[in-house]
Amino acid sequence: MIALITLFVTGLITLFVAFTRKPLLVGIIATIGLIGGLFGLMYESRYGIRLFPDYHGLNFDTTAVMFSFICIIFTTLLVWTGFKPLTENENHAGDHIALMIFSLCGALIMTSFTDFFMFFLGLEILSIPVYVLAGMKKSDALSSEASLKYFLTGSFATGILLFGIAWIYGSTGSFDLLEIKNAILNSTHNSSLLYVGVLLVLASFLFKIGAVPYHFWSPDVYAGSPATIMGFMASVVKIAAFAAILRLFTDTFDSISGVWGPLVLGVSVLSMFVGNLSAIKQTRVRRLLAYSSIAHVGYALLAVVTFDSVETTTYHYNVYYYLLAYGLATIILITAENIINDESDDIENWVGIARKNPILGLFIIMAILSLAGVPPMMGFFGKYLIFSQAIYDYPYIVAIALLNSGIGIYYYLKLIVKVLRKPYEAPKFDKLIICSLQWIVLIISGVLLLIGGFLLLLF
Amino acid sequence: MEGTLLNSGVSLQFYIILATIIFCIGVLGVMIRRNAIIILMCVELMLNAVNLLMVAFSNYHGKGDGQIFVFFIMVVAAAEATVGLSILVLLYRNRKTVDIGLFNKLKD
Amino acid sequence: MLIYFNFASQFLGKDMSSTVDYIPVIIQAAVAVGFSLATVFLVPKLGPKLHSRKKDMNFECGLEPEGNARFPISIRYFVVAILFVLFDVEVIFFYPYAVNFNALQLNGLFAVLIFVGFFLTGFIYILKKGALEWDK
Repeated sequence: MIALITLFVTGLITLFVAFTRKPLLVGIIATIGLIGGLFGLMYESRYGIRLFPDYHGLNFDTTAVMFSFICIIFTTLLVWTGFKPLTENENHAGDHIALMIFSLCGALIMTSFTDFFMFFLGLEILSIPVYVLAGMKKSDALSSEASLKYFLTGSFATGILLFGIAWIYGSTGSFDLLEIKNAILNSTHNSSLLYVGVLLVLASFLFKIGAVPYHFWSPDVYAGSPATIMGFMASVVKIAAFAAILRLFTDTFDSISGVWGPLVLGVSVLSMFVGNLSAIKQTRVRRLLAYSSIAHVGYALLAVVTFDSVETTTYHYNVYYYLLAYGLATIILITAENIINDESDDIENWVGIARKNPILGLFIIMAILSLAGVPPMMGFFGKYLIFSQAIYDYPYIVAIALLNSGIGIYYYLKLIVKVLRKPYEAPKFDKLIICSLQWIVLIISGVLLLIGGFLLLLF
Repeated sequence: MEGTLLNSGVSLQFYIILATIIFCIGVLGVMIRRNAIIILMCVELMLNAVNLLMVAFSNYHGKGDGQIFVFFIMVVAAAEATVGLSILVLLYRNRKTVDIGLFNKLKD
Repeated sequence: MLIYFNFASQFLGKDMSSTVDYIPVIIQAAVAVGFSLATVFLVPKLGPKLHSRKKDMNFECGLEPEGNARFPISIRYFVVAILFVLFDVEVIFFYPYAVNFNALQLNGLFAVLIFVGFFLTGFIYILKKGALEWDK
């Protein structure tokens, strides 16, 4: 709760500080606030402080703190890496950063809610700023088109979600997750309308995380919105949505997992295939990242299905670890996108980056290897954790997932070859300008990606 | 009177059917209409169907929380409509149309 | 459809409202629809028709019409309208507070003061951003 309040106040201060027209000051205050929020979160969980003892709508338990933690870190990294594009227009510098922080507040609520009130508010606080941020480049028709597409699909998903919540409320008579859980457990014959409600809620979630068959918006939106915001959608929004899925489905609705489990499994397999197969023929970097993100959602959903109500935390941990690896790799690639800063976003512009700037090339290759799941990187351990857990229940699905990882490696390697290859003609970009903030982001994420796997040995 | 809402002679079943019909009209509108403003209106229609359903269930269960949820839905719907209209104005300035069939520059 | 009736049958002992109760409603609806349809179709047939340039002109409160109505309006109107929608709807949160004013006591007052504080922050932001300035 301390973290949430700190972040919200930081957002407000950032808004008003921006009137001084000093982007650097805005950035410093936002950074201080974000790091303050991080410490608030740790302090609160360490000493078990409850700011409002009478209020039970938000509960920062271990899972919530874990997920909130990486949400805050990723937002900080994204604010740093996108500092230049975010503050390009002095008049709106504060608005963009403040909107990201407000959206982060929504993400924190999504990780810690205990009733549907807070869940719904959190989802909306998370989504609405991102609709605006996607259209950040005001004069760019593509950016506003992405914004409209994201908005229309997002608000449609909200409608479906609310309809689902209404059915759940109708059949259990409560919005509180614990009461709903007990109502489902105690009733001998659950009405089919409860199942309809649960499935509608699930559908809206799949919309938000962009899983097949609700994925059609994500390549367009990712390709159209500014790179930093695309990174925000791919990391923070997805992490928050997965935290909420874990809380809702593996905790509240786990007694009716027979209803939603097979569906999530099917969606997981479909996402892997559609994501990986479509990614092969992409010629734009962000579209490729969007399709690969669909595939990664598929892997992470596999971890959601293979939960066990006796020992829930391990599975939470698997999803967490996987998303952490995915988010770090995405942030590195987003930083590279910001550095190259190319409007056409053509994959051919990545040719020869490693020759221009070997260290940047190294980081990019590390990120791609992690996404592909090659051993020393964190992404490999993430996949390993998920697959080794799933193999007891669904050996065939794991075989399919492994096949998909193989397809994935093909297009990731193609990208690596492009990065390493000598350019055909004189390259369009003469010099890659990397500012110090971007170096910090690259180093933090790169080092974490490298040592992340070995951190596993500690636990 | 079991199954009948407080202070009215109409049973819950009719509210459920009405809300579902309104919701389906909204969904259909989102699916088939090409004008972005009308799509926005259809989304609002969906939310209002949910409001009706919430109030009916709230009355049926004899609790007030469903009606409070409706307040939240209304406020969020207003915020969404505001953002949506702003995005539409932005897009209209860039493209001079609100027909979503023509917003296909990202598809290639 | 079947699901609905199963669901409803859980709630319903039996259907208390019979068809007889709805007859006045049906009559009312029939009269309303009939009257409006009749006026729409009969009036043009019954009334005499006289055309002239002045008569066919758009009616504008008795004044001489000026220019075309379909010109683009200043974006300022739009901004103000949108801000109005936002601030207008927030007022519904005062309704439950006003109804339970006595029961909520001081805690409720503080909560509402914080709520109004956020409101004011937003309003100050709008003012400083210049969204309500007409001449710019």
